[in-house]
Amino acid sequence: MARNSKLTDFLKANPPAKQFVPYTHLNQEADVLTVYFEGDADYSERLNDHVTLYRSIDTNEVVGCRIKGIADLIDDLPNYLRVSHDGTELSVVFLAFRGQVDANGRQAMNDLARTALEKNMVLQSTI
Amino acid sequence: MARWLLPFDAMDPKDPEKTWKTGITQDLYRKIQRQGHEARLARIELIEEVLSRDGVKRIYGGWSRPDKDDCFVYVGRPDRDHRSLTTHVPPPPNMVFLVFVLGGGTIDEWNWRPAQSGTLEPDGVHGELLWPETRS
Repeated sequence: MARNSKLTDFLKANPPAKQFVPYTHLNQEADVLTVYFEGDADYSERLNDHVTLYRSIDTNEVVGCRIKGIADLIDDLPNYLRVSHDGTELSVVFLAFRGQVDANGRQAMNDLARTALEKNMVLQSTI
Repeated sequence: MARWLLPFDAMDPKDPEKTWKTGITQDLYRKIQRQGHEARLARIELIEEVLSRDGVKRIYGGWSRPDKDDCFVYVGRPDRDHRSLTTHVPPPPNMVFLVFVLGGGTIDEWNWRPAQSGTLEPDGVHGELLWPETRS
């Protein structure tokens, strides 16, 4: 198939930063939180209605996730803990969804929470 | 400012001869760029193919959750994967490439996903199959 050189040129003219930095991205319209701990080339694995894991294609390790239906949780968080001006610790989000998965999924949620803590990741309260 | 930083023409699920406007927002692109997520950024080149009439293999309607019935999942099988802007490798075996599009056309997500054995049916996608039509 013919490749679009215009798109390729745009990507080359707007390249990524040299070093990967873990991040979260909230999409209000989609009601989705995307989290990446590592910048590996990845694939997705749907865990349940709310959680999709991102796994490294090379190592199969979890490198991130996508949390769906996040808006209600963010709205409710201030009822359960103090949300500082820096936001909320991301690990709390995974705790909220821990009860909705089976044993394998629970392990994955625990891994996500632990990694979020290790990397000091914070969820900004604005969505 | 334009609605999308990167616009794409996608095959219309209701009429394969037509296209509709989709795209990636400036906010999402700049986030990926700033955070140095090269693999994700490089795979944007695969989106264009999967949304096209020649590249799309399946289109599902709905994201299997409330209030997302007007969203779409485009499924394709590009002949390569982009690990970076310059490193292109064969596609991962037994996987298909998914592009998630909101009802208004905003592209929210793109990634590889295991497919059910020997098919182009992605695991964990439960929306309504809109294309190709299965009615006889």
